[in-house]
Amino acid sequence: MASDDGDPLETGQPPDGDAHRARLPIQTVRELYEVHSRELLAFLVGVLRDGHAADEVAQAAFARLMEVGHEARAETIKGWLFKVGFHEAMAFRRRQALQGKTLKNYTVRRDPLLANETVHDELVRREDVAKLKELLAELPPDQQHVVRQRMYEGKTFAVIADELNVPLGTVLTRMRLAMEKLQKWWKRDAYPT
Amino acid sequence: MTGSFDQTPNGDSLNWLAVQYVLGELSESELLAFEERLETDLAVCEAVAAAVRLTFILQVAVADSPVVPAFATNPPRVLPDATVHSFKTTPRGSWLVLAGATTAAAVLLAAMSLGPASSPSTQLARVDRSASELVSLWRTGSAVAELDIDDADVELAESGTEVAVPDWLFAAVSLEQSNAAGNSTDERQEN
Repeated sequence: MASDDGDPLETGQPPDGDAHRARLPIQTVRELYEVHSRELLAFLVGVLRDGHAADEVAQAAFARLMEVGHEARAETIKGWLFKVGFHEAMAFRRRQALQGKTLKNYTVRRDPLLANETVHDELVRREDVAKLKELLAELPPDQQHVVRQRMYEGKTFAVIADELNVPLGTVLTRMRLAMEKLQKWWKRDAYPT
Repeated sequence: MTGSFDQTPNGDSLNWLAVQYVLGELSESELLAFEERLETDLAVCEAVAAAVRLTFILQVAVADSPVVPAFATNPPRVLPDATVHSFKTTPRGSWLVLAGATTAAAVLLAAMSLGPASSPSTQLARVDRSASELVSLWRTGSAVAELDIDDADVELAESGTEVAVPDWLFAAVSLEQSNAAGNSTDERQEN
């Protein structure tokens, strides 16, 4: 961030000094939204485990971008945006805790990932599903089995290990090997840098 | 995407940690340490985003894929003796059932064939005789001429529409035929 007088993103106060520069043009905000909104949304779903909440927080992050985004350097704008999103997500958690929803849900035994339909559509591309199905079929059966049990049946690794009568480490290794292969494809073909 | 499964300097794997974070598999201390990194490291944030998207896509893809049994971990079990024994008895049991059913059917047919020859003293015997008459007319090809068939029925037959016959009707006819066969036998014994 450009300001040394306290991070305006965290304080929510108008920046001082040269921070009185003009806000980011709407067109710039729109372009940043096009480029980063999906990834930010996915990140926030991971932090909050709730599509509705993540959507709300992502909107708040972009609202902050419009207010004080001109304080950030262009080359670090993505990191800036994610940092704001993370802080907004933490604030959201605290509000939830104050409203009676225990923080323990987030920190100890986290709820399963929740995505409303809109968020799911935003994050899941049909062509990615087709490709991933092909890759899944190429995995060894023991890895496919663990992926299915964890991702679809929703069983924990400990339960899967118990059912297969194998050590927990074996199940984790199978899952890890499967995810490595899928992630390599992801990095290479789906979302190359 | 800057994260990978390559080992990071502190020995863990960023993307694997992100997957575990997203799946809720980290311990409390691991979780807190990981979230500290989220605040300062964009690569960690990107890894979480990628893990979420991959998880969602995987959930859809897995749901749409055939189930693969874990052969490598579930060797075929050796069935206990008692189970094997029960398998041996099953075919013999089915042969007994089949033989019983065949015998019952033969008895029923024999009784039906005797039906028309018996005295038409009962209502049930008349039903049998009407049936045999119908078969006779049908064989000679004069059924349509002799029987009073409604036009609607003819249209239905020609349309090829399948007529659903309720189970209770089959049960009732079977019962009547059984009773008729029983009556015929009684009458023969009386004679």
